[in-house]
Amino acid sequence: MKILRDTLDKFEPLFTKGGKLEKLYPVYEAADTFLYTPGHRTASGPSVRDGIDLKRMMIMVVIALVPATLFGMWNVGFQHLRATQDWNLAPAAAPFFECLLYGAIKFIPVYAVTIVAGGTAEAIFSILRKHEINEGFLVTSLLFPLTLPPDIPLWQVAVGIIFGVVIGKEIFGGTGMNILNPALTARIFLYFAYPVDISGDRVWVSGSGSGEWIDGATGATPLAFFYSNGNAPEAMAAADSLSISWFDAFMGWIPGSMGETSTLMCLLGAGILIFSKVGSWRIMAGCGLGMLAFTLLLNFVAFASGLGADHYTAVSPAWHFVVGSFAFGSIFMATDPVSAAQTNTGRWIYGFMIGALTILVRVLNPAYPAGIMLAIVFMNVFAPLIDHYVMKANIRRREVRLGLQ
Amino acid sequence: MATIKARRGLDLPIHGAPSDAAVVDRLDVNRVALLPQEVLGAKVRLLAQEGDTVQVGTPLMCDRRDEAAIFTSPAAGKITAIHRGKRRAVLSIVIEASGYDDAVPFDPVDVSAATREEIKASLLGSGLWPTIRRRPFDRVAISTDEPAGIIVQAYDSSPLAPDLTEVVAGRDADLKVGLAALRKLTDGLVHVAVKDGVRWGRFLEDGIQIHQFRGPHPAGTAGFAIHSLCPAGANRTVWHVGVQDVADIGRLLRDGKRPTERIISIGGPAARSPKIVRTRPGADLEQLCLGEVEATQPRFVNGSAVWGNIASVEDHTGFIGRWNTQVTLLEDGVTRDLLGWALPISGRYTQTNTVWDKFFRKAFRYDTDTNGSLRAIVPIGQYESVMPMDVLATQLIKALAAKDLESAEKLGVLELSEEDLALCQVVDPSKVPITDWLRDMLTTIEKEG
Repeated sequence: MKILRDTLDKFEPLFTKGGKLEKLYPVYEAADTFLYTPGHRTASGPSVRDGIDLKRMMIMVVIALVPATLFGMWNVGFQHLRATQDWNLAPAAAPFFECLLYGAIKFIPVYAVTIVAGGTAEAIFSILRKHEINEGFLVTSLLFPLTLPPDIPLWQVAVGIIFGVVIGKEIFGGTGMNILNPALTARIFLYFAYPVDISGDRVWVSGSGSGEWIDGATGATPLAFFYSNGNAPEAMAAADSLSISWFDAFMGWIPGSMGETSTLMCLLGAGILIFSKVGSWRIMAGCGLGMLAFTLLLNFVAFASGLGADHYTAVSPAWHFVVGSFAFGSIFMATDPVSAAQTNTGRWIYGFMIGALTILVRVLNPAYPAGIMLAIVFMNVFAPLIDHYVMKANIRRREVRLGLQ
Repeated sequence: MATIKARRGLDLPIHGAPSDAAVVDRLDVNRVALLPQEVLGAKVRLLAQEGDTVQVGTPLMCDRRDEAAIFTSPAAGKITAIHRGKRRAVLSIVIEASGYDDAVPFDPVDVSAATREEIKASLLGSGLWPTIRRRPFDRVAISTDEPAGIIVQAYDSSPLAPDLTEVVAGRDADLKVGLAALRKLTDGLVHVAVKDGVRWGRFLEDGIQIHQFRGPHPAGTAGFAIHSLCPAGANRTVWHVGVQDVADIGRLLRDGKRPTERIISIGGPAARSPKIVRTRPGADLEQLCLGEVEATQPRFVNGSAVWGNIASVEDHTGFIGRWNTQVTLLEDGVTRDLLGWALPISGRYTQTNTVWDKFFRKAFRYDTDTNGSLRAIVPIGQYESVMPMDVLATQLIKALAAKDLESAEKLGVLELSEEDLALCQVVDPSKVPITDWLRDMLTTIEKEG
């Protein structure tokens, strides 16, 4: 390993000030500190420092996403088998490795394109703006593919992630300065720019356009189904085309984006994030509470106004929890520390509002069934305002203490 | 006697706690120094020159911003060097000590009968005045201050700090007089901050209150005590003094003897046998720690590992600081580890649960590695998790970074000092220079009034 270190040290003068490749220093720095700890000494302030740095923090989020990613790959294959071979195929009976392999073939190119296209945009900006290549992209580049349908055209992936990195992050000054979650910005861009490829009933299962589908198969997600049918037990039973139980939705073997279907895997990720103290449990809990409170309110309205059990407003919080991307969004997207509220009180309010807005958009706005995406971006924009009022309260308390008020 | 609890904070699990055995005498030190740069922003006027022979209590320098307060010699002997640094700033005034008994005469003061002005005058003239510091700005108290209250810090929760109750054990009479003197210097109250469980009811008097503090560091710091007992702000000055200094003030006023001894702890991962020692104020660390250091490349820290300043022999600042009660020895030779960021076990402590050594190790051999490179602030709630005060840490730090004077002032920068934000900097994943920003901001505010 000494050779590696020596090689890096040998090339360092090329990249430092006065060297031939001085402009590419961020690239060298990224490679150098990726391979070795930076080895800086504390020069001022506290002499000792905590063992965490941004690399470790971001890698923790990536680890938290691994269960959802692996399950997502398997599910892409499983849904494909269901739609093309046996609509009633049980998850346990499906050939495990075949499913995983099929999913990997679908997922890995999308992931690779994200890394290459987004990473290049990131590196170009770092060189132009003379800041370090930031580890935040590790997370963005994994989150983004997980929110996409399996058959998404690769050029759209590239366009989307470049938009997300540039408009969502770099024009604000890079990681730490962005107002919107870059992965979500990319996803929303695709949603509005190319709606045909990313919405409707046909895109969520791989191979939909090929004509291999068997009779009775549908790519409809439970979310879309609820919107058109409500949760009436009869409607559920009658819709044998979509025989999905709550347990199925919780486990995640249902059609959907590549990595977001499994609530269980998302909860596993939440466990990792909360245990490692990298993700904010306040935001996650706030989302859950907001969703619960608003859904119960709608349930009450449905009950009181006599809309009946088959109206969308009567769908229970338990279902809202497991369908769509609620769990994925509130655990991985809403908790982006930079675009979320940054005070502890603010985090509760921010989370609560995301939960409530998600249900509001889902249930009361017919055009956009997947409300969480819009709810998070909306609250990203409002997060500074929430913090502003939390700060005002703090400032007032200080003035009272000092006897100024 | 209400107990005040710090609900957030962090006790650094650092190796090298001083043993509880008796205080070791190290009074044989024969080189001491004054460190003018400790007095932040000082404009030094030298009152003695290199080669001068001095007694204990001979004026050595004063700060041109407040010339009434003089800084005096802690030893009798000869000034052998006055070291200067950038822009001729005086780094240290070094004295080769020949003894500690030859002192400038000083008349005892009857505190109960004396007026405020008399007490002030004797503190200013004797050189003990600079033991008192003030917020805002955390600098030496100004002789014209009218403090809203005075905090006496008798509990230090910093890692490896000595137990201050033990440090002043047996000095009850000194302390009583010292507290009575402070009582006369303020129209407000004198608050004594002690560790939870310490019974100091015997010092209770009219105008003197005892408060117990518990919880993780910074429960026992002046900043937290000021915040919870007697808030400071733009137009509200609060003084704070260490308990050992209060006892010294008492001793001076009682029998006219200036302090020539100071109890400190020597600890840290690079200390061979961590212990509490009785030594001289301003003692040379090289002399004091001879044979105590166990490191390839030692670093002396004047104070705790969390908030202390680097004391370096090359920079002529290797002497015990005026307010310090501890010296920390650390390994300064850091290594570059392959893929260090990816290993879940790395021998390092983190307050998050991203490195797992903490689950099977009690104390860590900290070195001076930053454990990461400088990045933009990504606020995952780290700052808040170690901030027990009602201060919005992330917002304040961002205001400091942006040099946003107005917001920083509103968010409470004036009640803080480096010590209070040091823990935020320790746990920071982005390794930004928070305490430097804080001092820059305080300097700017002070200058612009």
